[in-house]
Amino acid sequence: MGGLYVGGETVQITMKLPVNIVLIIQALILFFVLGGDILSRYRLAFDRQEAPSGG
Amino acid sequence: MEGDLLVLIVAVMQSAVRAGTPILFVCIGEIFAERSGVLNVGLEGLMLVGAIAGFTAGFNTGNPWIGLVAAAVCGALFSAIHAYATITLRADQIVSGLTLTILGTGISGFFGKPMIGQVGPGFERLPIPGLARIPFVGPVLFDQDAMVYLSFLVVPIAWWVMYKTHLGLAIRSVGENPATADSLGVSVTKVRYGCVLFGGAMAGLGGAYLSLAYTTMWIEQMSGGRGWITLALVIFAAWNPARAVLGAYLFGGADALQLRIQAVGLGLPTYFLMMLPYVLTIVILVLASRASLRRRIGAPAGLGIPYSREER
Repeated sequence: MGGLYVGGETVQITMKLPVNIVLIIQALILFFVLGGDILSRYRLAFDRQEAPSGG
Repeated sequence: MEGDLLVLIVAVMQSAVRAGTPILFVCIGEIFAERSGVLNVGLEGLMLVGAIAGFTAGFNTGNPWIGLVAAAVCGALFSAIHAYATITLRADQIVSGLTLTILGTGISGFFGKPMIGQVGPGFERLPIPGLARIPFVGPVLFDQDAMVYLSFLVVPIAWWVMYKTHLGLAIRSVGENPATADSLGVSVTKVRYGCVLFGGAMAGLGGAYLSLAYTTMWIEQMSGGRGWITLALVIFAAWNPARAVLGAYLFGGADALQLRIQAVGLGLPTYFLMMLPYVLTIVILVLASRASLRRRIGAPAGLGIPYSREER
């Protein structure tokens, strides 16, 4: 979280990005972290049984 | 002197209704979302998105009604992010809601940049003939703009749906005990999605009221904490749409009174007066939490808990 804030401020200063863009990027990062959380709770299992032949 | 005071009281109450209406819209939507078990703390962001969407659409078409529709659609779309994250991906509702606020602030500020300083179309005051001439009640309730009248319609409908229909029963049962509702054939996912999207649309409308009726322009961060006030208001209203009216106008009154006192110039510091609605929020939260200790005011038991079929 701290990294996100400091990084956001640095980007505003060095790249002259408006504060709103920084907010949008921060929010998107947070959402993807949140959404990706489910991958750490569950394991993706690819079912091989029906894949090879189309029947 | 007596007459002057009455005029002042009527004026304050009239602006209390105006200031309370945006909060009322948002509150009704949030009551539905929370009744179905999903806490949405992203109201502030949703209001801002609704405000800028409504203003942009209204400004470009010249028709505030199109602005309203745009605000509701954008509010619903934005809350869909929250719905997907919390219902499908079962992420933490508070974190997702706070993120939604950041996103809403950023996006509304970004798309609102070219709109700053523009004056758009707005809802004019529309006195209802006859009714507006009733002394005292007339000017307070029936000399308002179309969106206020819309809110008069929305509240009873929301109450009726919540307490008198099958749908309302499904919503409440999903919020109280999703596993039981699921075992009776109510789709928890569908009901929750529906409620969160409805809540988002209403938050969008509340935001649009700010940019289309309360003022007719776009100001960055114009919701000014109303989204957070609404969260407290939902608790104050005990998740009941009818009681939300009372609370919304109370907060509207605090807002209106503060402006009025500033205008009259009693010599109180401005910042102290601007604090009033927020102080009221804290006071009500404290009172509500004490009352809830005594008789459990009826918070939905499943509020804030993601539902997973495999874990029931």
